[in-house]
Parts: sequence; structure tokens; C-alpha cells
Amino acid sequence: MRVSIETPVFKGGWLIPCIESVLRQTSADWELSLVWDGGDALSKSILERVETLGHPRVRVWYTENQGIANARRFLTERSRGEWILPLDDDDILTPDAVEKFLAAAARKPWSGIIRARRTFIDEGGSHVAMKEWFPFEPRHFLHGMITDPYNHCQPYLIRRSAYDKTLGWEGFDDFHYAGEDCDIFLKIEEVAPVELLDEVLYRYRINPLRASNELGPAAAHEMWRRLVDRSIARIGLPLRRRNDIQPFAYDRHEPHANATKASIDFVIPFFESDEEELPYAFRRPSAFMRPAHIRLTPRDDVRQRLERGDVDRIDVAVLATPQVRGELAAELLDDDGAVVSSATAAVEPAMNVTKFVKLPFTRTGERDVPLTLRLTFRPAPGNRTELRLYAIDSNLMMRLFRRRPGHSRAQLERCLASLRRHGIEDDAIHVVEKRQSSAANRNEGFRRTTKPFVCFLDDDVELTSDAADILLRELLESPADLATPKILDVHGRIYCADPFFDMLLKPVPKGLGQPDDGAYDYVSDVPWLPTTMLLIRREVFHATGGFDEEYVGSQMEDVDFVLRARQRGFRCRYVGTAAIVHFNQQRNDCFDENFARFVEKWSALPALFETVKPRMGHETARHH
Amino acid sequence: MDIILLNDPAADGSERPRVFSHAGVAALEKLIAWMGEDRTPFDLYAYLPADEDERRAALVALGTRLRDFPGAAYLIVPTPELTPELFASLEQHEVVNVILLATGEPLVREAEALRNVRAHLDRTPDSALAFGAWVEDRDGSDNFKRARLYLRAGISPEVITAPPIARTRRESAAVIPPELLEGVATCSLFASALTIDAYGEVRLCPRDDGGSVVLGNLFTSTPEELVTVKGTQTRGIGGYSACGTCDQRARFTWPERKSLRIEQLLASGAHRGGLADDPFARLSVIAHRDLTSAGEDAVASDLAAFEERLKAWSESMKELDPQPGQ
Repeated sequence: MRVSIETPVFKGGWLIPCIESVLRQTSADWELSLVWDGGDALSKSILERVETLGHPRVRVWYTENQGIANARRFLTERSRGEWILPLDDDDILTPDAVEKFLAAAARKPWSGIIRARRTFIDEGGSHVAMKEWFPFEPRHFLHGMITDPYNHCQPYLIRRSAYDKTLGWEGFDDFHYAGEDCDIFLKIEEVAPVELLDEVLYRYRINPLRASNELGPAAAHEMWRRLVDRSIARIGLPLRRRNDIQPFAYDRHEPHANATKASIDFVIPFFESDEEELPYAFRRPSAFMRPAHIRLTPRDDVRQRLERGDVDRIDVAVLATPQVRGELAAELLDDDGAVVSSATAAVEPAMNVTKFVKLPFTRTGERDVPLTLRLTFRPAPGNRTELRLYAIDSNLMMRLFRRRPGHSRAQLERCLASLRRHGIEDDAIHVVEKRQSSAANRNEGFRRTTKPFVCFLDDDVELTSDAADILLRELLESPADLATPKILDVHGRIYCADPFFDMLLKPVPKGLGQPDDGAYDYVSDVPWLPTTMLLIRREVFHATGGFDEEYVGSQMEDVDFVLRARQRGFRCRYVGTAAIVHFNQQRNDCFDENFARFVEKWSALPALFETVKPRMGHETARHH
Repeated sequence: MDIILLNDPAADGSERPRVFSHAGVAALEKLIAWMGEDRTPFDLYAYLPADEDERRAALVALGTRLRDFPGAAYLIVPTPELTPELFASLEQHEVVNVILLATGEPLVREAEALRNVRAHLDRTPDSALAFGAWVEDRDGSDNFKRARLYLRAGISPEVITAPPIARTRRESAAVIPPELLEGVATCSLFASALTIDAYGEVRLCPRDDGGSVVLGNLFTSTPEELVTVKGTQTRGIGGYSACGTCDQRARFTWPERKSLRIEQLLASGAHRGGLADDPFARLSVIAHRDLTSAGEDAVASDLAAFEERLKAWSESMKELDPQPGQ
């Protein structure tokens, strides 16, 4: 059973159709949990009949009156489903509610809440043509805080794993513990997104006995004000609510105006590997480079000149398709054509994705001389006889590695030494060394931090300037909430500047491979930032729930995190007046899978992919 | 509910997405994963595609990707197409279960093809290939001779002589059982198998391949939608043109496997399709009055009726859901 339908019971007037609407669901994937919350005798009598049935799918409890929020908490603590579906005791579900909710949950597994639509019925069950009084649209944010908390209502499906990351159902005791539904939306949204499902799955009964009738508009507004104020405090946002009626506006203040880099905690995810990547052609294509396909058949070979042949492994990019299976053979040839070393690797079928085939070579002596790589393909019997490789500007897309025990740890030590050189204390540096994804390591690292600013740093980075100071100053003065410097490669060329999204929604940098001649030494608002060095205000993490650990390895989870932050109204700055050096030890090749997930999650919000427009009174780019 | 994947003998050269393509196999994986969630066994039957690329994709899919479900995958191969090259591909891709389909070819041609089967099994005693056969049910003596040919070839002794999904259509004078027309019962093939054509469109049954009724699309419908929409056509079974020319009417029963989830979705669809009232789908039979302001007698009456409905619901769930709470 994946869905736990939970109903606190207080009134028996319409409890029978409420229960029967659950029994008549088209999907069987539910359990029903009911708690008698010290209500009327009729409701107790109905529940006793349900309890007598003794069916394992339907469970009943009886408690003293504890208020709606506590009753919901009671049920959620005892239910078992992966998803929670609250149902009020006088409302009914449409027959396909569970089925449709589960279908939506399968399409959007990242959701914290899936909210659908409702219609209205009267006391006799007849449809009431009434306009919905709450908006049904994406929620709005300013400076990280929601401005329209009333933009929610039943029905909604809560993912239990998201619920478990919050403080759970809570209400206001002076409002009979109501406000719990609006509150849970605010809390869940801090850990996972709210997604909309444009289908009617709930019938809300208009009747004079509803608890919400007792509150009245004044009390409702007071409740919303308290909820946003409580959320601001919980997240730690430097905001003060400016008005009393929604949409709320907020004044921002700067509580850390005198902060220095001593106010920054550094989080470095570290993944040890005993190999060094060698420079070769293009590390990765920029936005405007489109790889060409090269067909490799059994009748011919492909050759690539390597400026240095002291490689222990070459990863060759191939297009893996369902039909192709075979063996990719590689030889390193000297200038006389003699074979210096050879390697083979299997090519396995896959569903039309780019894969890196790893070719391990046995080094025979030092080969720090130019060699030629020759590739041939031997297909398995019965398979298509060609393999497609990629090339950019006549260079094969490959990555070259040399074994160097202790290399990655040496990179880390270089990173740490550069931090210390720039005055960062050891107790502000948190290295997370676990064999898990970068997202998981960063989230764990954040949990170890306490300072008001957190800087995520890759272990193959070296600070060559006071980048931390400059980024911090930019956050304080803009003001902004996330910032990244200009990133250079080991040869001093641009690796990442002023990032943007291309037409295919791919995150790309400007200036890749260009000399660092000052053309990108400006500051601007940008739509995404890399975590090579990413300085954030602590509350950004609290408001977004951190990095999505469903991304494999170490690609796209940073872009996803920044989009979550922007969705909440946080501001991202590219600070080209600061620079770091990145030695680029990428360790996985799961870009295709991660990018597919990213597109599925975000492509419905095209505004987030546009070039960021300048704000009133601020320049788009400030040159120094 | 079993899944039957049809091929397209006369490829129309169109750009429509095919089931045995990247997207199609991904969609099949999702459907199979969904169907396997409640652990009710089901089988997958796939006709061998004609197009070479699709054929390879089908062999890869059946041999590797579409194996993780509570049932077996079968490749249906017209007997004359079982060449030594195809044998090699089957072994290579580890497609284990093959059903040979007698196509009505002259017995001489079938005998020659069956000799290849015998030769392969003799040559590779460790072969994991398992052959079944569907010999079309026909009147006349050829039927018996044909069945004997298959048995001698070493095919499973349980040669099925009345395959419900042979691809030929014939005029027949067989009478449609009245219960089919009234919608009280339904064709077991329709009810127990989900038929998907080469382009991902759900059909009434394999005989309706290319017909006018499309019940959903593998590429655009969720698994729940595929089953529910299928249910909406329950009432019409027996009255379609494919039914009118079906020579298997009431002469076979497709194996039925109960799945609570599938049954409920079909019932919901059947209700939407105008079938007789399904008490599990309609709420108007339930009183919606405010019992707190009703009199004592009304309350007592409603409570008693509620209790009866609860018991009826619980009873009906026992057959469909023998392990509740799982």
C-alpha cells in the first residue's frame, strides 16, 4: 500500500460517504487511518462499525480531543504508506483520486507535495458551481520567502520521506490547532518542491459545521501572518514582513554587514582516485561546439595523435545504441608504426546515450613522447557493424589518465594549503570523504557547518586570489545570496565565466578556452552557478533542502540546487573580479542520465532558463 | 494481465515511433514494472518484428531488459522464418522461450523448417531454448498432421492446437455467445491480455490489428490509463467488426490471472463505458444527508445499511485481494 489516507474524525454527519469514497477507489494501493478525536457520538458509532469489520486496510483509533493538527500527527506517526493523503471527515475523494495521484507521483518522484484540484458539493452531495477561492498556480517568492501562503488547499499528497525531514503537523492552540495544512506546505517546500496536478480529485462539502467557518477572515489572516513569520525564523531569513494582507512583501536587512571570511565555513567533498587526468584537446565542448560523428567499422580504423603517450587509461566517448555490441581495440603506435601498448574494452548496448569506454593500457617504460592512438572495432556476431565516436575539430572526444598514487589527495592538500594561505582556519574547513555522490557529500558537509556563510569547494581547486573575500563582499553589497568567481584552468585560460543556458537547456559557460584577458572581469546576475566554488548564505540551504541526492555522481546536482534557490527568489551572482584555478578531475560520466532527470524536473518552468534580467536600479554587469 | 506485442508485417515506412525503439522499450519497461508491482504473474508475448533493426532491438529487449518481472517472455516466430541465422541470434541474445506459429503454409515447408529446429536441438544439447507451438485450429485433417509434425520435431508435447491469436481472419458462422453481447461476460482474450501494436497503440485484440478502435497509446498513456480505457470497451465486446469475423469466439479461454489493481481499473473503465452499475464506482447510491440533524430512525437505518455495505465490500475484496494489508 503506497498511499495512507488519513482522516481525523470529529463529526459524523457526512462521515459515511467520506469513508465509502475511499472504499470505492479504482486503485487498491491505499490504507485508511481514522482517529476519533473526541467528537460526537454519531461519529464514534460509525467508527465502531468500521472497526468491527476488522479489515487490515482500515484502522481506527480513539483519543481525547487534541485538535486537528495533533490528530493528523497521531495518524501520520502510525500510518505506513510512502505517500500521505489527508481527507477531511465531511469531504469525499473522487473514485480515481489514488490512481491519479500515484500516476503523478510516478511522473514527478522529486515532489514533496502534489496538489490537485477540488470541486464543491452541498450537504446533499450535489455539485455546487462555485469558484475556487484559493489560487491554483505555482507559489510566489521574494528573497527566499513565500508571498502567497494561501495558495494551497486540498487535495494534496505528501511524500512521507519529505514529511520526515520536517517538524511535522503543527497548529495554533488559540485557533483550535488549525493552520496545520498551510503550515505543512511551508515546511515541506523547504525540503522538496510542490507540484501541481490539474485534475479534480476531491469534493469539498460546503456545510455550516466546517471548522474553518469558526475562524473567520480576521483569524485566517492572523494565522497566515504567524505562519510566514515562523517560517522566516525557522529558515533564518534576514527579512521582516512589511504588510498584513497577502501577497506579503518583505524588507530585507543585512545582519552580517561586518562579516569577514572568518564567517565562512568551507565544505569540500573528496573522492579519492589514484589517477591524474592529462591535458588533451578540449576537456568538454562549449555551448557552440557540436561534436561530429565518426563511424568506426571493421574495415577501417581511426587514429588520433597524442602529444604525450604516457597514459594508463583512455576513456573514449561512443554513442551506445541497442544494436551495437562488440569490442573496441586500441593500440599506441610510435612514429615507426610499432605497437607500444594495446588495450581492449567491451562495448555494451544502451539506449542511445553517450558513454565513455575505458581502455586500460599497460605502460612499458616511460612514454613521454608523442604517440598515435589507433582504434578499431570488432562487432559481436549478428550485430550492426559500426560504432560511432565523437570528434570536435578533428580531435576525438576522449579523456586521458595516468596512474599516480596519491594524486587526488595531493590535489586536496594543495586546495587546503591555498585556503590556509588566504587565512582560512582549519576549523572552518570540512572535508567529507565518503564514497557517495557529491550531492550527498555536500549535504553531509553542510550539516557540520555553523557559520552564516558556507562555501562549497571542489577538492581540485586552488585559491590564487582572495576570492572568498571578494565573493563575500559581493553578497553583502549587491545584496545577493549565491556567488561564484571566474574559473580558470591550469594554463590560465577561462574554464567557466558568466554561465547561462543554451537553447537545449544545457548549462554552459562563456569563454571556455579563451585567454584570461579581462573580457570577463565583471559582475552580473546569472541563471546558474557551478559548485566548483560556490558561496551561499546559510539560509539558502535551509530554504531549499540542499542538493538532490537522486543525481548520480557529480553532474547537474549543482545546477538543480541553484535553480531551486532561484525559484525561491534568491539572487545568483557571477563575480568575474575574483578567480580560482580548477584542475578538473571529473570522476564520472553520467551526464546524459543526470541531464535527462534535470530536464524532466525543470523544463516546465522556462522562465528560470532565461538570461536574468537586470533589477531596477542595478546594472546588469558591473565592470571593474 | 498478459501483454501481447504485435508486429507490422507490412512496414508502412512512416515516422511513427515503434515499440521496439529506444522510447518504446523504455515505455515497455515502465509498463512491465507497474504490472509487476503487485506480484501477480503475467506473461509477455512478442511477435518477431519484420524490420531488421526492430528485430535486433526486440531480441535485446526480450533477452536482457524485459526479464525482470513475475512471468515469462515469449517470442512468437512464424515457423518458416526459423532460419539458422535466427537460431544464432536467439542464442546470442539469450531469448529462451519461443513459440512457433503455424502460418497455414504448405506442410512441406513447415516440415523443412521444423527439421532445422530438430537439427539445432541435436547440435546444441545445452541450448536453453524452449519451443512451444501454436497450430491453428482448423477443420480438416491437416490439423492433425500438422500437430504431429511439431511433436516429432521435439517441440513441447503440449502443442496448443487452438491459438487465440493466429493472425489470419476467416469468415465463420460461429454464433456469438449472448452473454458477450449483453456485456455480462467478456471475451477472455480481451479481458486477460493487453494487446499493443507495433506503433504502441492498444488494440481490442490481435485480430483487430489495424482496426479503428484504439484504446490508448503506450507512448502517451500511463499504465493505469491503458487498463482503464480498455475497461470502457467491455460493453462493446462481441459487437465490433473484429468480433464478427473472429473464428475463435467462445471456443477458447485465455488464461486469467487475478490482479486486484487491474480488476478495479477495468471495473472503473467499464462503469465509465456505460456498463451496468458498478457499486464500487457510483456514490449516488449512498445517502449524503447530514445525519447529525436526521431523526433517530433515519440514523439507525443509515447505520444498518452502511454496515451491510461494509460487509459486502469486505467479502468482495476477499477474492480480489487475498493478502490485504500488503
